[in-house]
Amino acid sequence: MRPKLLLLTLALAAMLGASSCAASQAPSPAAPRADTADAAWQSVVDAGKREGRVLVYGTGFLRGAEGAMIAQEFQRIYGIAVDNVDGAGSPSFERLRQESKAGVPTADIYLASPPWPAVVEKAGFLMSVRDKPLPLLKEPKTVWKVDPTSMSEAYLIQAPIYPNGHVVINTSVLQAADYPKSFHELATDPRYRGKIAWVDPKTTGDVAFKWTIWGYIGSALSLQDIWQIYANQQPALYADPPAEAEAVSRGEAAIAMGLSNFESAAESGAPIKVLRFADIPVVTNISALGLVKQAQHPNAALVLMNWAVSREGQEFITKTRRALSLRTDVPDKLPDALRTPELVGGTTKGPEYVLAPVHAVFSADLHSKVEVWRRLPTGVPEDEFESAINTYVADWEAANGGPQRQAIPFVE
Amino acid sequence: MSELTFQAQPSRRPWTSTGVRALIFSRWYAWMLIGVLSALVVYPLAMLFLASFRGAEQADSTTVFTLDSYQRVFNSTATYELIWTTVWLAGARVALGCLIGVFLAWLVARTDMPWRHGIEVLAWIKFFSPPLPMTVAWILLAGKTGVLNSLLAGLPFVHGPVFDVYSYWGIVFVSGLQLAAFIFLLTVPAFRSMDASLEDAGKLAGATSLGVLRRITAPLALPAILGAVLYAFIFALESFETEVMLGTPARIYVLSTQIYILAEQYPNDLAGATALSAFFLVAVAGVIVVQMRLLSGRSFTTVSGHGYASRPVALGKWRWAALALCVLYFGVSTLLPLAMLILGTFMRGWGNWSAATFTLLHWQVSLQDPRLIGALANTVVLGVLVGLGGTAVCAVASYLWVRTRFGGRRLLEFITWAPRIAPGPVLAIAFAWAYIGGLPVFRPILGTVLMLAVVLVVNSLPLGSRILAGGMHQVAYELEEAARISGLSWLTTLRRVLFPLLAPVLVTSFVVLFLLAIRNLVLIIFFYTPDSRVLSAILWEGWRGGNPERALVAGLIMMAISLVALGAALVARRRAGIASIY
Repeated sequence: MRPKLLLLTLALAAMLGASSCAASQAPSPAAPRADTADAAWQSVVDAGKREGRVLVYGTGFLRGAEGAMIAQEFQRIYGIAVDNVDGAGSPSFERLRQESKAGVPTADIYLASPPWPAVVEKAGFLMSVRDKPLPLLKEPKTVWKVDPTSMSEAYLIQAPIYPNGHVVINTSVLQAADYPKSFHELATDPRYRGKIAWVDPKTTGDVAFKWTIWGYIGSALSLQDIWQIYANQQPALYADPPAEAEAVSRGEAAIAMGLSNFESAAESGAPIKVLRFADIPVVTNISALGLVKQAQHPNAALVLMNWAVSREGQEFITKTRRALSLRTDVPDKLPDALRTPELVGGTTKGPEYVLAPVHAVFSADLHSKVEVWRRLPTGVPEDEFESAINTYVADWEAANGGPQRQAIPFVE
Repeated sequence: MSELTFQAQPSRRPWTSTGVRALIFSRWYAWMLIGVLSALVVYPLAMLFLASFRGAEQADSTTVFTLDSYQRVFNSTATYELIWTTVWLAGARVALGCLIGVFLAWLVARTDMPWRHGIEVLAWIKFFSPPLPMTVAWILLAGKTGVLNSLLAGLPFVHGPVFDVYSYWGIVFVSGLQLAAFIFLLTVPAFRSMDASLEDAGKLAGATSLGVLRRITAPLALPAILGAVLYAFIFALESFETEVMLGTPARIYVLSTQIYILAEQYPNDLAGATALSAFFLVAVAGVIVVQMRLLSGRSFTTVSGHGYASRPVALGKWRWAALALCVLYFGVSTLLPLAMLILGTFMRGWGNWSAATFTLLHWQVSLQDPRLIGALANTVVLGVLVGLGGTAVCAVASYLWVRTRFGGRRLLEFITWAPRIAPGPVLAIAFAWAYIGGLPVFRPILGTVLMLAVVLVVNSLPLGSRILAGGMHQVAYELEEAARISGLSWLTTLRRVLFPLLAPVLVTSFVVLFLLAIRNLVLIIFFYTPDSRVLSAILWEGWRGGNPERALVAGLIMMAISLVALGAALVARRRAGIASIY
């Protein structure tokens, strides 16, 4: 009996092993093999393969040499070549507009971060993707940290950019005992005078954006604090967030807000540490893929859009770009130095959001239409600063049906 | 023996419009050129300025024209502060650049200083160094925590940072050094083509070396110096990258920064950006008037029918001191930041210097990038197309306004300046409107390298025309007259007389336009496609994409191409028997 039992056990184990092995190799619901079950989708894939290429305008996961590697991987799977014309929101939008007007070939996909997807959608250059047989539309809601279709009829949100709500410290300049614990402390404590890297509101809208996410949505950064940072803390101003991040990485300044643009420094071993203020919301910017109405390769574009948010696509993209994942079933691949922030100023993490289109457009308008932002570096009276912004916000809320402070939750 | 034809009286008249040339240039061919250039240059800019007068659409769908955007911009005191800062900063930088550039050009072209050809090559390297990475290199060198301050901090008597590149003088220094190379390259040909016997005559007449330099050499080179300085001034007014990177931390703002922001932000304010650009229209018009007033009534002919000698001035014991000055300039302005760039491509993170962060990764990834080969080929093709096309168009245009009495020559001169009346970001949008959404003639070539070449040839008109016009001013009319009297046709005269005499300037024009074309960013991003991607697009993508180290690799590859182009020009020079690259 015993040898027979042993043989039976071994046979069962072998069968279980084989089935488990098969299960581990089985494609996820959004992977190409599962797609074949859906005839409508299969016809899109077949048509996309016949089209053979897809052209993307804009920035995002296809940028640079890593973007080329991602494009190669997609081509390996589907046989569809991906071409990308890099460009910030404004030049890409202008190209799209002129080419559409002239009726000449233009992009198949517009890829950008807020507010540009909403702007391009509003201009009527994108078509709905909700009525397309995309497998991702059938996936259970639990696989998403944020539903890629949650913001628009016409575009899919795709790759989370680094979350805003963290503070990056250069540890060679600032000792642990001096770590700030709140925005208010940063704005008022003389220890931080001359040590904060901040973005110049004369050159970008980044300060209005910071106030939108932490002040307007999160109620954690007051206008008074922002004014005090400029008036009293002698911040080192930089032209844009990448310059701000580089300055902190090399120790020219000690403190920066937000994780974006620190990936290169983190991977190179710069002496940086990530802090997270307790109870302060973390708001993540997410780029988006929109299907252009005059697309020459609409089916190939749909195949790329679906793959980019599928489990298979997200695994490859997050690994290649060392980024956050959009899905709960794909682990984040942030560089180690950025992965585990130290919670300071309390014991409770604030909520996680993604930036909604309404807030992206609000922030951009707030910067461009309220002139007092641009006077901050050279001096503006505090009451004039606060009054101008509060007036604009009140008018905007009145025109938009009341306060719009509700953000879109993001599963951490 | 040669003859000096410099005189303080009206210059010898250009040929009157007769014969074959009259048939060709005084009639419809010349006007056709004006028509084509107007369509390419004036039409986009006119559309842009027209749009700046357009008010909001009315309820009945009509559009009213208004001065609102101009009132908004010019009623603000901040605008005048910007203009003042912009003008004095540009003036200071051009003054520094002119001082260094003209002096070095004289040393290289007119003296017996050793290693002159090596200095020329260094000037070219400085000229084609990508400005954005070079500015960042200076931040890493002379920023508060930069290499220089870190080294000096070890000295017992040094307390705190010695250098601060984030300052007015930081901008003047970094940008002035760049402009010096530019002015050097544009003025060397004029010094080189001078007749040494004129200086000898001055000395025989009892003038000192300084007196000869001041009263003979410098005045003879005036058209080239003035052209270079005025162009450098406009260039400095429009310059953007250095000002925004070095000026922002010091709260220094200039007009071009404001225009860039208005054109790029959401929602963009093109009307405001165009209204601010009106300042450049005034500046360019002012430059033309100044140039005409200073050059009118004088002749600058240095190449005449009597042959000339270009014997160098003997510096004696100062030869080595002069070389030391040149080496100091190029060491500081070029080699030091260039070393930072090269080192940066081998570090995991640029600016985070340590042996532990040494890596070959950026080169490996960049060289394996499948886009690289195509971009390399496109870059070379683009450079050659713009170099040849730009030189040809500019040569014809400058011939018309310098050496003929064609009725529309002043108009033509202004048209060749026109691309400089709007800074890069605004010009790019105007071109996109006109070439993509406007003129259907370009639709068949949209997305190709040829389209990029058309855009960049138009953009090259101001500089190419100034280079060639400077050369044409120096060739005596009597040479063409003699050829014609000898029975040569106009075309043969051009081919056998004028063309060989202008060959050095034509080569200079080709090389300069080639180099400017391959490093252009602002216009390229509006017109390139995957099929026409060039190296500057890869540099830009890397820079904007948070991979500055890989952007540097692309920048260094661009510089390598530039060196090859320079080498090819030197070979061409030798084969053609031209005395220098100029």
